[in-house]
Amino acid sequence: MDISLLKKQFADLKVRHPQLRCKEEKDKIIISGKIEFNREWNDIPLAGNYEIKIRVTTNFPSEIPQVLETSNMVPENYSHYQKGHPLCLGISTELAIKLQRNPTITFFVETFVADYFYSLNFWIKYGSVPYGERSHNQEGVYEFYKEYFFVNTKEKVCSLLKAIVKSENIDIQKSSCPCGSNLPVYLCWHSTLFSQSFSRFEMDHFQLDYKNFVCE
Amino acid sequence: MDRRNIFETIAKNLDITPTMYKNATEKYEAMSRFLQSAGIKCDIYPQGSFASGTIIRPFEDGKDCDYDIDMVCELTTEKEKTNAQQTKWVVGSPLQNSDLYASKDLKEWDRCWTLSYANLSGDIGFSMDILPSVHECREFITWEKLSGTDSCYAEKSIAITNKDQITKNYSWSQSNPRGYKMWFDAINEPYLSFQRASSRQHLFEENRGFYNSVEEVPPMLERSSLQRVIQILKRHRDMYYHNAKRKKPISAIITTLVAEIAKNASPQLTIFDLLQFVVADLNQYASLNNESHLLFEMSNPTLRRIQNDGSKWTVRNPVNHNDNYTENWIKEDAEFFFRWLKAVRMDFIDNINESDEKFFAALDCGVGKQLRISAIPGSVNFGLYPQVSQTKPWRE
Repeated sequence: MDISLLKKQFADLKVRHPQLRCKEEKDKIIISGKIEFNREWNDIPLAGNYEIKIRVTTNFPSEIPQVLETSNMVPENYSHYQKGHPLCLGISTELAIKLQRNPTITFFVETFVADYFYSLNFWIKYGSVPYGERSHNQEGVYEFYKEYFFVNTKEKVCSLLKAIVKSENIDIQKSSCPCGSNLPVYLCWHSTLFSQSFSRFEMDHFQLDYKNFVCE
Repeated sequence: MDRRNIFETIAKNLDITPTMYKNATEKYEAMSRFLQSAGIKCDIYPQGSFASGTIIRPFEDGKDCDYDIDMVCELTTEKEKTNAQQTKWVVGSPLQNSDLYASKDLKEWDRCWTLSYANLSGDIGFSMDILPSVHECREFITWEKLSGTDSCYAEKSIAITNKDQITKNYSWSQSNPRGYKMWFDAINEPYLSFQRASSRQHLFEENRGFYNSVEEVPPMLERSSLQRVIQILKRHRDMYYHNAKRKKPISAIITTLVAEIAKNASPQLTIFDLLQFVVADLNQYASLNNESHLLFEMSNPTLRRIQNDGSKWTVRNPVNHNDNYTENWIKEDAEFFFRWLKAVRMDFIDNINESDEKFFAALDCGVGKQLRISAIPGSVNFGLYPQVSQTKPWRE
């Protein structure tokens, strides 16, 4: 995505967050200023505002933007925050898959950044995160895939991920599902997984995750 | 619209209406006559939040429910001449044998009998808890006085019955609803008298079809800023603990602490100013949770309403010094109590000058959307919050 397109996307974002400004650099834009969010979960509305800085490169959406909180309002004991580091918005692959549906900066901010601050404000108020959190490091990635693939073991995650990234020749009618259910794929829950085509952008993330799993 | 004024409307909408008050009063007076006609000598009187004028509509399992109205049925029998089981059933048997009361879904609970009154003429229904009791024995009253309870309160003590849900055995427990009302009323009186005339006039004007003159307005329906603050805090507690999925602290803790703090405030304060005063005072105790209690007591010698001796938390019942409201608190209960107080400050005080969106969201979180809209009809278009996508945070 070239710079002019990124700037156009920023203009859309600014309609919702007029206090944001944008600076252009060689192969990226830097968005900074105040965002206000207002979100609800389980009939619990929370609103807030934070100063942020977002780095969006011309590789967007393949490259997930990095977000810094610059008003120093995040308590340092919040386990999904490291001072001076980008915010821990979520598992990159999960963000990539969701971003695939709407690859815009506005969607990124309104979904992932707002979700992050909702979770944070909920934690500040109630002492727990509202709809769960991922374990740190690789364990959290496994948790994501277990939910995404609807399986309960790391082995099943690896088998399914391998089948996707190695582009294994899966015959939906005849092959047994790699999840180990002993069912032909067409009868298994994973039939939808093998009948869809993933974008290059999603495949890059799957490949990286598989490499990390195997190395582990 | 001055945002500071909306708390009165919110509290008013949580309170019982004059119709409900009249209905409940008629019901307990009728019950009193019924028991008298059955040969039972007793005195039936309100207790708890109905008696102190701090009643609010309960919020349970995420929804507003019928009101709970608590009554004491104090038998004239001497404690030495009866026992707990007999006391409970002297009241329960005639109710069970009466077609009228048996049809009210009469149920026995550990301490009381409960009757359900369905909603009549479109109003909200209520359940009435009847607490059988006798006057406390002389030995106990003397012991209470020796423990430091003021004599005028100790003399009002009653013995209530308690049925063990496992063994089904009955035993005595102590209570003092009349003493508590006396204690609360003494603190509340300057607050009530500050605006009594205008408050009664308002009640009359709002219910013109119901009362023919200001004099007809029952004193029990007058509300002071102190009572309103307690009602607002109780509502926030209900919402907060429901959202946090935790067991809420009992209302007596809130009522007692707020009344104690209000002793040091000016009765002329508005509801918002008193709320701010109370919340600031209570939040000072938060450090009791983190630092040594000895250090806390040294640096805050006047803060003694909530105590922690390192292993036990104490909020004393003002009319029974042997009764500790926080007897069963563990560390997490205390932590959560102070977290709740911080949330009250965030929702009601810190957000008072914020944008409409932020302020209304805080009110929706603190008292509920419906109450916010009924208090600020102009805010009806706010509150359609986008849902989160539930992306879980993760740290690499």
